[in-house]
Amino acid sequence: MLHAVIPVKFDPSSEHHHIFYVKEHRVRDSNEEKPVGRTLFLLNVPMFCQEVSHKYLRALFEDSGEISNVYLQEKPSSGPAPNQESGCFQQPPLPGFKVAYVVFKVRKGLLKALNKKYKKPKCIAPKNDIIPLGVQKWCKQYNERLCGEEELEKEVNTFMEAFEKREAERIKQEREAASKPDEEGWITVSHRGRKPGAVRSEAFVKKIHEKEKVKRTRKELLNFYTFQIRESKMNEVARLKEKFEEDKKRIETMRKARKFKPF
Amino acid sequence: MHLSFQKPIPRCRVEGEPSISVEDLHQLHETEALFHSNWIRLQIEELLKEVKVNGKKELELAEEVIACIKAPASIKEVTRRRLKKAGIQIPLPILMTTEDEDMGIPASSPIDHLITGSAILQTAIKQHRNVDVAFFVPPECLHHRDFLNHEYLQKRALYLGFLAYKLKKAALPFALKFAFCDDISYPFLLVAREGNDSALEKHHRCVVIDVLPPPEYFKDSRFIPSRNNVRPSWYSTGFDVDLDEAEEIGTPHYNALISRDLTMRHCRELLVDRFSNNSALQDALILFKVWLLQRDLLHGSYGMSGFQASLLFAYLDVKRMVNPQMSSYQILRNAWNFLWETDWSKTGISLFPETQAHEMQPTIDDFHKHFDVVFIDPSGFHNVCAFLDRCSYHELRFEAHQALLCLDNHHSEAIEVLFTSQSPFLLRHDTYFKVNIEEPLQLLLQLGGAEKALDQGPRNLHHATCQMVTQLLTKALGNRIRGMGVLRGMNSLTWSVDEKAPEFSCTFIVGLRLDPTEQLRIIDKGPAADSHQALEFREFWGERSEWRRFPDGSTCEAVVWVEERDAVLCQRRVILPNIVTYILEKKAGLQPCFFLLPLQDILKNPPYRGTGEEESLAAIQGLGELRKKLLELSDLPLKISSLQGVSPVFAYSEVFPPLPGLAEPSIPVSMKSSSCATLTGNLLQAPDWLPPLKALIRLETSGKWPDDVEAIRRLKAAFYVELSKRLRKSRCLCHALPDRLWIVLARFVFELRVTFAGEATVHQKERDSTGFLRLRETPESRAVTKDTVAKPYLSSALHSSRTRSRFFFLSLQVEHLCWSTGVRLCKRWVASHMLGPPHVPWEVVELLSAHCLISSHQFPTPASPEAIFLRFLQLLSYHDWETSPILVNFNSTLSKEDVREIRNHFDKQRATLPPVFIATPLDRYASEWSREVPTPMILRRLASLAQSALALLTSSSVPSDFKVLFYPILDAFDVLIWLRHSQLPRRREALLDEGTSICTPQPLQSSQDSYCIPIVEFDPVQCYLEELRGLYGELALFFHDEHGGDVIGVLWKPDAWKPTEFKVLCPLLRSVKSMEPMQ
Repeated sequence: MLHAVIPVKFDPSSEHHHIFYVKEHRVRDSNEEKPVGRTLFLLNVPMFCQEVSHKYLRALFEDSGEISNVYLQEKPSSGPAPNQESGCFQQPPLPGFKVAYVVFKVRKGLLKALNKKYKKPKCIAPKNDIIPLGVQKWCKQYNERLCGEEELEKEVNTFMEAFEKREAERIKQEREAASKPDEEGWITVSHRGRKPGAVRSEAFVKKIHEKEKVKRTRKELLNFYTFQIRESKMNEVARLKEKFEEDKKRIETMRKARKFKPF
Repeated sequence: MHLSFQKPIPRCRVEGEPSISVEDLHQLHETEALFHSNWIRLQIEELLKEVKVNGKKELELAEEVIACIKAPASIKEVTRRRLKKAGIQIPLPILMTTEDEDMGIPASSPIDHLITGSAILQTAIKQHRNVDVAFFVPPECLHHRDFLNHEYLQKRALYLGFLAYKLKKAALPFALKFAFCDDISYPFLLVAREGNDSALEKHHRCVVIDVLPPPEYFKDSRFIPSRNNVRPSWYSTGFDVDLDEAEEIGTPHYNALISRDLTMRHCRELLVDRFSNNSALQDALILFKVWLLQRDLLHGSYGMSGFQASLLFAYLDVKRMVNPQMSSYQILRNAWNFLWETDWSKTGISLFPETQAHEMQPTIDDFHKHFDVVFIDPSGFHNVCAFLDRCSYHELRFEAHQALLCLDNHHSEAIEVLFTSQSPFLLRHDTYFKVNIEEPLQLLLQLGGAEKALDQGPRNLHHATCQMVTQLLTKALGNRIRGMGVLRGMNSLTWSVDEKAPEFSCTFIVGLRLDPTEQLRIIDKGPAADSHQALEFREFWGERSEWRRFPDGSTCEAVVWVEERDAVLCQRRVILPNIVTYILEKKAGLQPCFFLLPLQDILKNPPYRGTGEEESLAAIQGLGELRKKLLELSDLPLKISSLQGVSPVFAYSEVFPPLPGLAEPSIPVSMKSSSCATLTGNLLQAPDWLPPLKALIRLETSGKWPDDVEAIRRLKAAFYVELSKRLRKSRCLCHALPDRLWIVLARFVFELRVTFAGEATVHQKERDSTGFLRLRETPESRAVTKDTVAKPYLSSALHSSRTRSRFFFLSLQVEHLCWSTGVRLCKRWVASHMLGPPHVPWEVVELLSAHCLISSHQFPTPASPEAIFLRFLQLLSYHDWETSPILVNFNSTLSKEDVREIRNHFDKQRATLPPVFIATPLDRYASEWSREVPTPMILRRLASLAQSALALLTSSSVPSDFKVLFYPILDAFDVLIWLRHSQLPRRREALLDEGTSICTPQPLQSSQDSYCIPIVEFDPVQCYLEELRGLYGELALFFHDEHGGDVIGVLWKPDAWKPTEFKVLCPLLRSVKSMEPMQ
């Protein structure tokens, strides 16, 4: 499956051009957001195209057909695009080249975009608009970061309300599941309710194992039988020997590193 | 009852079970008893294998030389003139101009010879495998009155010239050179095979020829230290020196020179007796000599020569302090212990059996009167340490003490530290200066050392002047210093036989070990003004001495070095150099040159009062104020349990600490919601760099935090808003942002973040499909741990090394006042070579400097910033990162067992650990701070840069301008991106060449009202670099000096230009060459 190549330029005065690699988005497990057959997959999207409203990308493909959606992603994926935060909690975009998915309204638009011959590099920057770059962009980013406190408070409140509602719903469901047997008659045990079950976590399992071990050792007799005493003596000697061998090995590596050449 | 369950006992040993032979077991048990541990034993054995030599070749050479010398000579009489014609200059100039050049001695062969030294004791080491051969001058060459007035020394030199003549004329050609050690009037002849001149140069692998007077020719008692053997009248007429005509002036130095020759045979007998068939003693001596050599101390006049060392070991044997069952390790330990515990400058030791004393025998007290250090040889007439001065002797003792400590505390690295790594003089001392004496004789007379001038001869005044100068300094500096060492430029010089003996410029370097606090004392308090010592005090200090009334009501003589009470640290650090300069100038007319002192000027930024420690302190006080304010707030949703500083400035390690005052609000705060300055779109000049002081709020423990990362973010933001509201009520300028809170307080901008116990675990939780909960480390959780646990701990650990209590900071800075400037010098150096983060994280630099300060056992604890910097460079240059970990033992938290465990872990896991492994009490096994960077490439670069910097700093011609050390080397880069100066927010921190005008700091320009929070932490250069690294990080590395560097260096990665296959997942950045798939 070959990629089509679209050369683009920043503005008419640019001497060099940048290259987009495009192909049809084709995956086995399709997703509603990026429907197979109507989605164009775009590689190598530079920083100046990574704008929140995607207006430059839209402008680039608009003449092929009507576009319903554009998604920008760090890495290609078949699933839905990670949803972007909005408002104050929006993270500044990471620098780097990205991939984009352009979803056309109809398949015709996609085919047209793929088959089009691009002879001359197309300009990204429109004539009457200025793309903020360099210091200007960083200034803008700095200013955007300073959102108002009231705005921030409002946003937090709406999020938390929704979150608490979700949590309450989840707890309710868990409670219900605990009291009602499913079709086969099993009851799901959770750590809530009147008779909570054990926490199903690694730490808990580890704790239990350790307790067991302590119990076991308490029952055992150590250094009691002759064979045990002899064994422990043997082990001691073996330990000594092992340490000796280890030291020897270390000396060998040090000798190789010419550690013993003082001068 | 249990028997029924018992397993059957296996009758025969199972195959593969660990077995140990009886021999091995025996050896292991022996090791436990005789050596510290098996590890040390193995290392010592290896080391001995490496340094021991059998010296057969050298002995063969010696035999040949002896044969040549014993052959009859072709000439009848030896005179200077005749030898000169034959191409041999007598290695001692004629003392008196009146004397005849034709003074001659009969040219008869030596009556006998004696092989002495390490070759005969089998204690030669590879570096010094010389054979010492002493020839006895035939009696007909001497006169019985020759002991007087340098007569013997002249004849000895003449005879040495004659021996050189013989060897030159011999059938077998030899390479010949003269040399001296200790004393210029006491030359030796070095002989090596022809063509082996380099051996002569290094004083190594050659035969050293010495000339001795015939046995029993002079009486031993002639040379006891109080006797006079150089007549003042003779000396006065020859050298125009006014001396009393009294006979009583002893000439101990002159006497010692000759008595050494006389007693050589006694010493040799004793040594041969003690050392033959005692291999442990031999090994111990070899190790001791290696130890001395690594410290540049294997020298009789400022350390210990091999001869002295062997006598020391013989002494231990004679006095039964060691026994034949002891191992070399134990003997060596005893020797160090003996050196440290005894003080030969107060109570000397003697090898002379007291029962044999006769009436002419001098007592130890007689020796003490004339010598600094006393160690009497078996004959009882000669002081072996006659040429050793007091300061050097104490330095030697101190080194022995260090060695003992090292063995006790750090046994796993002890052998490496003690024997196989060099410990140069300049790195062992905190500060050092050079003294150049042009007129040593004049100086000596000026300082009242006429007797010494007479004693040591007119051309050999190094020893005496050096002694006088150190005495003067010891008196002037008192307890400001802990030790003083002298490095003389003329250790063992060699010159060719046809050249005249060189004239030596009397130059030496004095190294000082400073007392960390006393060196900064502003006032030297003298005796009470009316006491009789006051006059002496006034005389010594001259016009600097004045009357002072002290708080306790007394009036005393005193010298005040800095007038202001609140003198900044960097002013106080120059007090000691000022004292040295003043005293040497006044008393001796000398100008000492302190090499490294100007180094700290690098950190002097115009608005600072000194080198920035005071500004750091101001920031810490600001944090205290903020803490008070925050803890006053009541009924917050959750209580604040503590406030911890995170910025390096709170650990005194910010290179350029932010200045207070730039952010002061001039008008009372309004209740406006937008209280931050914003940037205008067209930025003609970047605003001044203003880093916020970062701190962390710890909240009380609560079980109510949600398990959801996003919800936690929102809740934290809500907390910031809440705090901001409360603080604004108490008229504080602050602004809440989604992930932080800015507060302007005490004229600083603070940036607060919130954390709670167990925040990292939220990121670690992971449920599998059945709902089973696991904790797995993720990059996010690691980042959170770093920010909320490791970083604050580090800054408080760097800050408080003795106590981990959060509220009682007793900082590294308080304990070691040199820490701040030292670590900042190191950081500035790394940054200036464009190797700062992300190539080398600041925490790594800080930890390495802290290691140099508190956990390095190679050198004593440094007490000056320059010393920290030098040792940091030394560490970077020579540390073997592959085989040894760096331990930073804050608060001495790590016990010996911990250290051993860390070492074991390191040895076993080396392959998986990062290139630089740093273990701290909190982070023992993971080396969190150096996990990804620095890479081996960056390490190599650092090492080579550090080596050249170190070479420059420790060379004899130190540059006057230290800035050269801090100029980046741009040749290494492929592309250079030059930046516009107006867009550098940190331009004030840049190193400027002389003559460039420094732009004065301006009050912050804010585009809006002046009572808002200024532009904080905005650096276009960093934004640019971040973008460059994000976009092109796969192809190239980007380097930049964050302290106002105006250039970005770009280095292509090795495979940046190679064609690769087209892949969707790899960043492209390349043009397509052909559409054919690559094969």
